[in-house]
Amino acid sequence: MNALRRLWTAWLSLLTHKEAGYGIAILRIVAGIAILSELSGPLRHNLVPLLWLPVDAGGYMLQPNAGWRFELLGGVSPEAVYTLITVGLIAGATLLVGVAGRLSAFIALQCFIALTDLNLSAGGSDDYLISNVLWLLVLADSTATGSLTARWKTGRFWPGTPVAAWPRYLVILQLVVMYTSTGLQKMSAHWVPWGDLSALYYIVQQPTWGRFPIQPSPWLYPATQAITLLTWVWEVGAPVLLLAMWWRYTSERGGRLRHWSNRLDLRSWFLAYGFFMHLGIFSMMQVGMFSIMSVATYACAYHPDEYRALWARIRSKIS
Amino acid sequence: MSTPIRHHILGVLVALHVVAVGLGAFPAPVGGLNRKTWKDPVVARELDAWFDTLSRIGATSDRDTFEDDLFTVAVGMVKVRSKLIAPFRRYYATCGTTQSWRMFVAPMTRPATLLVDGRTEPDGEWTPLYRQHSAEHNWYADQLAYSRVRPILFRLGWPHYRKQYERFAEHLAGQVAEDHPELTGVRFAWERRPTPKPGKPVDPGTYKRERELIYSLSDAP
Repeated sequence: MNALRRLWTAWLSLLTHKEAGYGIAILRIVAGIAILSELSGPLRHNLVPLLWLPVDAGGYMLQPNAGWRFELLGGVSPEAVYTLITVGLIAGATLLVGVAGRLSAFIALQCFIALTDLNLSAGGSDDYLISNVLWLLVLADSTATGSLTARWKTGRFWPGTPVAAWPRYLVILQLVVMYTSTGLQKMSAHWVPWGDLSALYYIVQQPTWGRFPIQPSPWLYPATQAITLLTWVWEVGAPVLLLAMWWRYTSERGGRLRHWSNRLDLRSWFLAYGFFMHLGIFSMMQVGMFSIMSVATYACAYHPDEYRALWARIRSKIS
Repeated sequence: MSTPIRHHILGVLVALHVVAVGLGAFPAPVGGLNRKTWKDPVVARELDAWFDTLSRIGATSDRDTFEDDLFTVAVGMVKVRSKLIAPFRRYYATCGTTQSWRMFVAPMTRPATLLVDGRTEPDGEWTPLYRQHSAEHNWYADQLAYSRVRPILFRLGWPHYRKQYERFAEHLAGQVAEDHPELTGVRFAWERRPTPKPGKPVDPGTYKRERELIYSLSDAP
């Protein structure tokens, strides 16, 4: 019973910890850009009817997957769809500049879910990543820094105003869950280490996602096999990131592994691989905002003191 | 000093969120329970590879039994997952916390690509309007390459999306009529192009056209 109580006390102590919200502010800015890009894209390409309207309003779907949000608006109609796009774009813009953070995130989230749910064939996991991030931004005080709100309140764009740290932890948990889950589902004989490791060789040539036609030279095949193996191990092993961050958080405790991980900064090595993997995906494939949003969440893996130290280093180099 | 009640409430709510996220991401072959799709050559080859691996270590010996057992396990996993996440469904739907991370779970070794052709005379020659990545035949290319249209094309490339493909093609036919009033007909088809194995050259002889749809544009609005 005492152990349980101690655990609960430790949990509450973790949740009541406060710190400057630099990481979450960076994530908010990128989420704002993502919403602007995702909702303006169909407008710019003149694809709103095709993607989100029923066949009698110029689309191809017999019955869009209208949820309660559209029922409140009287059903799926061009007026309702364009209204949600407009409201979502405004919310995305206010999220980007950091005005009414929670409300902006909530409105952007509801508009985004309502629209993307209409046609589940016209989206993928990038939509789920954006919506999960938006919900965490609803829970976080993301405009305490890096925002117009912060400028109005403190006279500075990036003040170190303390905010609850737990939304930042949840962002990292979400990232780890996403990578681990996708890794565990890559059970194709082309992915697993006991298979032929040809997954990436085939995926980069898949016309559906390719930005341009790719046919790897035969001598590159072993490299694609190595990257396939590394990627699978990296994804399945994503909980290592949580462990590495926990070891940093409890650096005063002993242990050889903790010491080794902290000295090496295992966390940064893990994220560096992710960064290059997403860079590869982004440069070769068209998968929406997935890579950009994923990398944006990495901002939450760093403590505010590390941002301050980085900024101090940059300033001293400039001066 | 006692902990404020709001901290306990926060502790419970965040814990529930963590549980919801963890359970939602629990891997299960949702969408893979249609045994008709198991006959698709790409899926069948995956099953072959797993059968080979498992039979090598003596875990299975009969191909049909292997498929039946796999189906039973898959159905079981989906059922368990479904029960576990049931209390959180409203949370996922309302707050956007759905955990669906099936990304590139298996490569397509025989991907399909959409072909669009048009003709000016009712019995005339077909000329290409759209070919992916073609600078010459690039009708509607910006739209068809848009990130939200690509997953549609990916799904419609599978034969069991027949009705959606027909409606999608009909929609595109209307667009062709608008952009090319000189055309009397438009033709859609999928070309399945097996990706060459490492070191092997591309062989257009292996390409297979399928599911052709022809629309007359003379009656188009």
